[in-house]
Amino acid sequence: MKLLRVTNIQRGCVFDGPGVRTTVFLKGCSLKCPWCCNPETISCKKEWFVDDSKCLFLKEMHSEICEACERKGGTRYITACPFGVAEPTSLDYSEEELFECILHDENLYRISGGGVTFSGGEPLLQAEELIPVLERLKGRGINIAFETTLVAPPGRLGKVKDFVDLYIVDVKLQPQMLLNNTAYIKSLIKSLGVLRDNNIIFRLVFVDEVWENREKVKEQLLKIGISDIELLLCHNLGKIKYKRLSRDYFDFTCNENNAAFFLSFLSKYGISATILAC
Amino acid sequence: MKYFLKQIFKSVIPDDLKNIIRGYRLIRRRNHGISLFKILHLGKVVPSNKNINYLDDYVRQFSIIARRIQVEKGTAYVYPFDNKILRLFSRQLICSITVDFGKVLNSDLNEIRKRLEKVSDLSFRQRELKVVSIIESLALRIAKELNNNNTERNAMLSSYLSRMLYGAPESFDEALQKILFYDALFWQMGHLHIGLGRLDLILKDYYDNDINRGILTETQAKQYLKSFLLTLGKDTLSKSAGLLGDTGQYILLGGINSKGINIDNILTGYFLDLMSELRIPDPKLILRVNSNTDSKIWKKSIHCIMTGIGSPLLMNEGVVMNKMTQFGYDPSDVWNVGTSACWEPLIIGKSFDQNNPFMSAVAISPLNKVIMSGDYDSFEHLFDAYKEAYEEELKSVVKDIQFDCSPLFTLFFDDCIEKENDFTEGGAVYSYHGAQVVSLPNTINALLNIKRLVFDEKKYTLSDCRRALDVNYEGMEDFRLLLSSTGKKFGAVDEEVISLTNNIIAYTSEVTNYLRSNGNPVKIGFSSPNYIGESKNFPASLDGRKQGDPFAVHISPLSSKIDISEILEFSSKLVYKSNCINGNVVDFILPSSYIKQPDKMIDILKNACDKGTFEIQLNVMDKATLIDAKAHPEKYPNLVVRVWGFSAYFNDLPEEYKDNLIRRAEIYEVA
Repeated sequence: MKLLRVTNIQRGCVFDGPGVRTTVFLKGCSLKCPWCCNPETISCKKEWFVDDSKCLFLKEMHSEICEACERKGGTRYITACPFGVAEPTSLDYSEEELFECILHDENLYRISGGGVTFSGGEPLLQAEELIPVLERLKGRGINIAFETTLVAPPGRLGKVKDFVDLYIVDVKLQPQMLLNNTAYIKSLIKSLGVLRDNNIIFRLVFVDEVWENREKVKEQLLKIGISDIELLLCHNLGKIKYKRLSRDYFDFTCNENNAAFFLSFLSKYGISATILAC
Repeated sequence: MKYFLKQIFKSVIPDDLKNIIRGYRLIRRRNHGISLFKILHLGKVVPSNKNINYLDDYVRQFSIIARRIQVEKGTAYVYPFDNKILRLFSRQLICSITVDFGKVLNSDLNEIRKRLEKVSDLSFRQRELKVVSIIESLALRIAKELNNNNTERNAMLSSYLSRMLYGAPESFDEALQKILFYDALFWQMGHLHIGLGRLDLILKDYYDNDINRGILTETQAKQYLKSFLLTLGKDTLSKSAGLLGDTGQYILLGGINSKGINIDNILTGYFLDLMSELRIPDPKLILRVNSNTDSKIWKKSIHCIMTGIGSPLLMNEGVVMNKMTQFGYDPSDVWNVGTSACWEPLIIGKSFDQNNPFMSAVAISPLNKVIMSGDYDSFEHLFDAYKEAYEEELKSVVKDIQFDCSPLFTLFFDDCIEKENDFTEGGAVYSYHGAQVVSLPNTINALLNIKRLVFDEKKYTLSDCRRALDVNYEGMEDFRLLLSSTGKKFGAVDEEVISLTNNIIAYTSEVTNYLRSNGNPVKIGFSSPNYIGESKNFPASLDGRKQGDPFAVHISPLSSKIDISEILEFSSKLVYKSNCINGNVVDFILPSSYIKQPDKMIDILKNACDKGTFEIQLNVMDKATLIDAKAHPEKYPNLVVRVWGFSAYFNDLPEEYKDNLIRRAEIYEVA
C-alpha cells in the first residue's frame, strides 16, 4: 500500500484558497528556500522535532523515568521520550485515512465554498500516491487546490491536472532562489501552458531582496505573463521549528514599507499585487 | 487586640442591627465609598420585618423604597434605580429572571386592577393591589418632579410616565422609557440579573409605526437605543453580583417567533452595531441563530465578537428548543426561549426557573475520593466506583430552597394572577431549577490518564497517584507533566474521548432525572461560572492540575493541540439528554488574526451549529495584549473580555482571572 507522508493536517484554514479549507502539508520538496516557514516539509525522510524545553534532564529535574534515556547514558532513544521531547515531524497516512480526515469538514466546505488544499513541501512530489485520494475527493464534489511551486519531475503535473480546481503557484522570483534561472522560467512558462484553462493564483514570498531587484522581478513576471499576484510577507514564525530540527535559522523578516513600495512599483507596469492578509 | 475588640463588638450587637450595618456598607461600596455622612443622609437600608408574613413584608418594603427613590434628572431616560437604597431579606434571593417586556409594554395597570378584583384570595388581592398603587404613586411622583425641572426632554419624559402605565406606549421612545422604568424597579427590589429579553422582536412594531408616521428617523432610533444601552450600563457596580460586570443584563436578539418565522430585523442590526461601537461590557448580547438567520446579522455579530467584547454569545436555538420540549416545557412556549443571565435556557415571561441557585457539582471531586479510598483491579471497577461517588456529589448539591418572593413579578408573569399565587410559589408557569457541573474536562483527562498510565501501560500504580495528590506533585513534577501533557485529551475528536465524555453526560442525566428541588424536576448543565471559585481550595487532580489552579472553563480544551475546528466538532458529538440543558457552552479564545477573515469565521460557526453545537462564546485576543494589559493597566482602560457568562473590563478583574485568561490565550494561540 502506498502511504502519504504528511507533516500536518490543518482544519479551518482561511488563507489557503476560497472558503474554509483543510490544508494537508505533504513532506518533501526539491527546493530549499532559506526562509521556508515549514522546514520540516523539505526533506522527504522521516525527521523529529526535538523540543529541549520539555527535557527534564536538561532542566536538571530529577526523574527516575529519565534514567533510561540516552541523554543520561541509557539505552532509550530520545525519540521514545515519554515526555514528548522528540516528536515525529510527519505521519504516514493510507489513502483511506487521509480521505477520512479531509471528510471531517465536508459540510463546512459546502457552506463556505471551501475544500481541501494540498500544500507542503511540494505536493506534486507525492502526486502518484495522491491520485486515489484525489479521485475519491472529486467523486464527492470536494474542491481541490494545490499550493505548488510547479517545480517537480516531468509528468507529475499531468497526473493530477484533471482533479485540481485551483493552483496556488508560489513563484520563486527571489535572487536567493530562481530569479535569474532561465531554465526555471522556461519550465514555469511551459507548466503554465499546460494549466492555461485552470484557475491559478500566483504568490510570491516577499523578502527585501525582491524590492532591491524589482526591475528584474518585474521583467520576469511580465515574461511569465503574470498580471495578478499576492505577496506573502516573509515572517519569522518558523524560527522555533529550525531550533527543534537543529538547523541554523536566518531571519528574512521583511520591511513592510518595501512591500508597499513594491506594490506601487508593479502597478506602473500593469501588474496588480496585493498583500495577503494573514 | 483590634480583632479581639471586633469579636466582642460582634457578639453584643443583635443580628438585625448587624445586617443593617452590612447593608450600609454595601451601599457605600456601590457608591465608590462615599462619605459616611452622605450614606446616612441619602442612603436607606430597608430591613425585613419578621413579625409579618414575608409576602406582605415585601410589599411594605416596596412601599418604603418607592417613596425614597431619588431619580437623576436631565438624563436621556428616567431610570428609577436608586443604588443608595437597599432592601434586606433573609430568604434566598431570586435572580436571573427574564421578564417578557413585550407584555410589560402592553400592560395596563387599570386592566390588571380589574383582574385582581376578581381574585378570591383576599390577602393575595390586597397585596397585589397595593403593589399596583405603589407603582402608580412612584410614576406620578417622578412625572411631577420632571415637570418642575423644566426642559423639553423632561416634559416629554413626564408625559410618558403619566401615561405609560395604562396601556401600550404611543412611540418607540416611550416604549424604551417604559422598559427602563419597570426594569429599574425589579432591580430596586433586590432581584438580580434581570434579563431584557427579545428587544428586537418586541420593539419592532413601535419602530415601524413611528417610521411610518414620520415621527422617527433611523438616526434618532439609533440615538434612543444608544441612550437606552448606556442607561442600562450605568449602574454596573451596583448591579454586579460577584465579579464587577456580572450583571446578567442580556439583550436577546434574533430567533423565531411563535409562528416559527425568523425575526431578525433592522433593530437586531442596530443593537449589534451599537454594541460594536460602544464596546462596553454591560449590557451584553445573546444571538439566537437558526438556518434562516440573515447573513447580514451573522456579519454584524461576528464584527461585534471580533471587537473583542465577547458578545454576542451564540445560542443554537433549534437544538436548545428541541431539548427543552423533551424536558417538559410546552412545545408552544419554547419559541420564546431566553436565558438566565448567562446561557441557561428558560421561557421568557413564564419561568421562575432558578438556574444557578446551588453549589456547582465538582465532577473531579468524587474521582479524587475514589483514588484516595484504595486500589481497583481494573479501570472498569474504578470507573464504576467513580460513578457511584459522582452520584452522591450530584445529589448533595440539589436541594430544596426557600426563595425570596416577588409580588412585583407576580403582576407581569403569566398565570400568577389567575392561579392567585406569588410568582415564586407556583404562580409562574415553570419552576424548573437548574444545577451545574464544573470540571468535566479535568475529570475526563484524569480518567483517561488513569486508564492509560495505571491500567493499560501499568507505568504507575494507584498508590503513586495517591501520593501525587497528597503531596501536590511536590517532587513528582515528572509524573505531573506526563499527566498534563501526554495522552488523549478532552476535546479531541477521538472515539475513546467522546465515548467517555458521553458516558459521564448520560450518567449525569440519569442521576439528575430523579432529583427534585422544591418538588420539581431539575435541569443540569456543564457550564458553571465557578471554575475558579470552586477550584481555589481544591486539591491537586490527576489531569496534572495543581492544588488551587483553576478548573477548565465550560466545554473547552486544556490542550494546545486542539484547535477551534476540533473543539467545535467534538462538541457536536456530545449527546445531551433532555435534562442536560442548563447551559453547555463551548468557550474558546481566538487569536486576533481571525479578524482578517470574518466571513470564513461565520462559516465555521454556522457549520458548528448545523452539526448540533449547543452554545458558543468567543473571546478574541492575543496573549501579548493581555500580558501587556496586566502589566500596564493604564494603557488599556477599555479592554473588555468575556469572563464566564458576562463581559468585563480586563482591569476590573481579580488577578487570578487575568492569569487564567492569559494562560488560556497562550494554549489556544499555539493551537
